[in-house]
Amino acid sequence: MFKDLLNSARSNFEAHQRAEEIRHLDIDPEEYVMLRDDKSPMAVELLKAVLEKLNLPKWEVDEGTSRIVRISEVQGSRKNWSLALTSDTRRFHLKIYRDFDADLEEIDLVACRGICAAINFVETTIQELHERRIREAEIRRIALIKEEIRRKKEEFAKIQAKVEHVNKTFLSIYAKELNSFKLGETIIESAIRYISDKVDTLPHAEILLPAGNLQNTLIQFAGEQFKIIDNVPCKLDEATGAIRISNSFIKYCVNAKNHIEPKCGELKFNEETKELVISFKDSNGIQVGPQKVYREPASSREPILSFSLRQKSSIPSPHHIGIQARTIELVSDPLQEITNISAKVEQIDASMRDEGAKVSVLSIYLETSSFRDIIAPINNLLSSIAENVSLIAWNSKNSAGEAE
Amino acid sequence: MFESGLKYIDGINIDAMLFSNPKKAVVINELRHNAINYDEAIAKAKQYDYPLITEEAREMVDRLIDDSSLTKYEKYIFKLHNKKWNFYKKSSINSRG
Repeated sequence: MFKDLLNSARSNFEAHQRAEEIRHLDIDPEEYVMLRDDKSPMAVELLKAVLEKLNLPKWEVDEGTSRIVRISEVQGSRKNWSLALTSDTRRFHLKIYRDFDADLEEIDLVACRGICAAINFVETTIQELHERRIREAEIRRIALIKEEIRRKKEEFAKIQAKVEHVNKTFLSIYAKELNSFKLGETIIESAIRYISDKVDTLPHAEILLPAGNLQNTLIQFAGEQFKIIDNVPCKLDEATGAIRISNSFIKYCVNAKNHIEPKCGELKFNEETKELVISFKDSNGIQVGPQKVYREPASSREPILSFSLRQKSSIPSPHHIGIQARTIELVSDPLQEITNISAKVEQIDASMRDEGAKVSVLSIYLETSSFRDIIAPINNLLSSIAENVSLIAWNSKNSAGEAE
Repeated sequence: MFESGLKYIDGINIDAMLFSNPKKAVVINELRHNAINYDEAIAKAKQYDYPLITEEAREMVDRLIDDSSLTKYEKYIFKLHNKKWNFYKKSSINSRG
């Protein structure tokens, strides 16, 4: 134990002595020259002692040249030096080895009077350069990230604009297809308007009548046979006593060249004179062309039209459907389809207003995302309604016949 | 055998002299002129004996350094100065630095 204490005391003393030896150790440029010229082991030892004092692991003594050098990298047992400290009798210099930082060549050691200050200055400068490079790299990295963020924001904005555009387009379509009804409009009214809008967009020149024209047909059904046109709804205007044929149908009347053009047609039946007056008005409500007056032959079989009108007082308005045309066949299927649907919808609106049809249609509407999807259910619904209406009409006719 | 007549001068505080000036070359010159009787020996010697006297004076200064309380590194550096620098006249010590 005593020996251990002695050894401990001895090692402490030696450490203290060593610390004292190197505490004030320093050499100036001239002494560095002398020391290197001396080429003695003591010169190398002194230089090592200087580095021991500075405690810089990257620095070492090149024993071949008695120079202090800085290690840039270690490859196995081989060490590459980045720079060496040299001097003349007045000042220190740096010898920069190739492939090392060119910025170090600008290091000026003129103000370093001692070797310790010179080495510390070089090391501090290298550290500062290293940190500056890291900062610059970080700044570049942040700039790149910012640029990336800016680019992504732009992309996002573009995508957002596209999405917004798509949304708007979709909403526009959606609104047109589904939500085009106006405030206070019923679903059916909205649907009718939607169909009418579609009809308006159809090219008129492509819609031709096969033979004759609507006027002739009207003449026919105003005459002896008084044919009924399928699915053409006519409403009785109770205030004026006029029969108004659905605009979506009648407004496409045939002009002199057998082309359909939009006009508002009106049928008016005068019960007293038994005359059927057909007139056409343009979109401003101004009458176009002369009125055509048809008289129902007294001997003819009572047509449904007159029957309907006659039954006006006995059948509560507006639960009756008037004319059913049979003879007109339109070439254009879309128009036919739309016309039929329009007619049926109007039929529903007219006949089932108080009987829950609106609710039924509304529920169909709510369950689908496309107007076209509701056409089939409406058709089905309308077919059943039409059958009922026909049945009512037939029953009424029969009952009227029986009464006569 | 050549007798230089060089000898140490008694009563000189070598340690104090070594730390008297940060310029070691100056300190070395002071040791040569003040710690040994170099000037006296030169005055008595013939000119062709000067190198021998100078060389012996260097060795005597080295011994003074060795006997001082300096660290081994400081002693080494002082000896380097002692080895390198030529001898100057005593009167020129203060003007040189």
